[in-house]
Amino acid sequence: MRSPNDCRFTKTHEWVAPDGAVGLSDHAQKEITDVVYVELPKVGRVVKAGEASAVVESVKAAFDIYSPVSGKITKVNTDLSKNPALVNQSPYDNGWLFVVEMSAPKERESLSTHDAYKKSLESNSH
Amino acid sequence: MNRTPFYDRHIALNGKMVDFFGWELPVQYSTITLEHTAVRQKAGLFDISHMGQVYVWGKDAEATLQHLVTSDVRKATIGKGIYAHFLNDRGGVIDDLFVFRLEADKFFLIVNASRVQPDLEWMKAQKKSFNITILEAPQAAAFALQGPEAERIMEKVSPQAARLGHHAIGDFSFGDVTALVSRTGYTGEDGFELYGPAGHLLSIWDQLLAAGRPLGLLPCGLGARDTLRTEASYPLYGHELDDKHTPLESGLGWVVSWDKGHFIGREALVKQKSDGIKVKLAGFQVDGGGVVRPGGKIVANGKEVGTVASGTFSPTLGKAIGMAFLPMECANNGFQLKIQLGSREMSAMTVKLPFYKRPVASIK
Repeated sequence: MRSPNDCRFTKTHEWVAPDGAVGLSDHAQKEITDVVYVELPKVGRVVKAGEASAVVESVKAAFDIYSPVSGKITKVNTDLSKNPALVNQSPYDNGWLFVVEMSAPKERESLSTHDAYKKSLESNSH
Repeated sequence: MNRTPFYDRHIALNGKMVDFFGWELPVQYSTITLEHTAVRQKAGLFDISHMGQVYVWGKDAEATLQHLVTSDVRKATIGKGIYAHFLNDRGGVIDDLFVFRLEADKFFLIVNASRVQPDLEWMKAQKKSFNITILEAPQAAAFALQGPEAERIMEKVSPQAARLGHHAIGDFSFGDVTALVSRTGYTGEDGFELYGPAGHLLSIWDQLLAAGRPLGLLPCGLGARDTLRTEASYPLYGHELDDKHTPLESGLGWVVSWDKGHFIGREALVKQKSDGIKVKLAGFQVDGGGVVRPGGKIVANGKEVGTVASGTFSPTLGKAIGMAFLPMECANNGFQLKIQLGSREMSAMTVKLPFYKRPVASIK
């Protein structure tokens, strides 16, 4: 089991684990609800931090997913093509999107911890 | 922004509020899929207070409406309703509506939220008689109870209303309050729509929600309303209907009564019928992943042939579906299309409408 406490979070609600795995936060999946399709990047593609790298679609709308870190895509979660709802059911574990081989690991360290991310959500809702 | 009388109910039920043509309404309370499925299998409750409620009465009410709508209003006998279009003189659709006859000379019209003002101005400009009054019911509330369990839920609260026939309307009491109730809907399921003053309808909403919860009734938002009506291929004004397309092009030729006499737009329709239509509303299903959205560009054989009118994910089919006006040569079933949304491209195939029909076994 991956713990959100080991992940770092972007302002745009993506998380990145120490191994470069990327997914959507629990807060984001609750807001999006009903994920019905996920378009993943090609393995081997080189992305920059902040680059639109995947698309998550709900019944109502499509959402761009930005890679939190720079590097090469080494793996994508092919289970999502059969079962996109994993993004809702297991946002930190089986619902991961892709893995980035980080070319600048410091980028990850500059992102928010889980606690800081949760605090920023609370302050946004007030 | 306008708030409906149900606003406090929506907030208490955790509704996620959005702006719909100037009305603050819930897009969903739980998830669109859950609410959609509740209506297909059990029942759902929808605030539709944003819809326009217009009363038309007077000695010349029937003659005037005959002149204004495509359908034969004489078929709406007292206590019955009929679906109709208002057309401009080019045959383009000004609005789609339901016309109910409450009394011999008194009609009740349900029009689209976004079209209330243009409809009223047009109706008043067209009327040729002083023996008619056209009045929008101010501050009126309305909600819909839809789904295969709708009748059973209505039975618990108003057994008389539960016995209403298809497209019938009447005044019914719910304890010490009353409402107009019609056997109509916009989901493709059996159901009722209720209209009346806010104070009465709030009480009836609470009564039906309490009676229906044990039977699986859920409050439903605009999100499910749109996926349900798209599956049933019910048109939405501004998408499948507009002033540039005729009912013949929208595949709704049945709303036109050719033998009732004159109505506005008739000449244009007669001409179009004899010339033949050039475009037609077609349905399509997306192959593979991706969801089409309104505005998507449709390409066939390398040529742009249309724009997506409605596009969404169908929870019942588990696939993305959509509708678009397409040239006749592309509108036959089984035609291959490409749909471009920004930098993405999806493959789709035209299919027969509607996407969803009620199981015959469910018809009462």
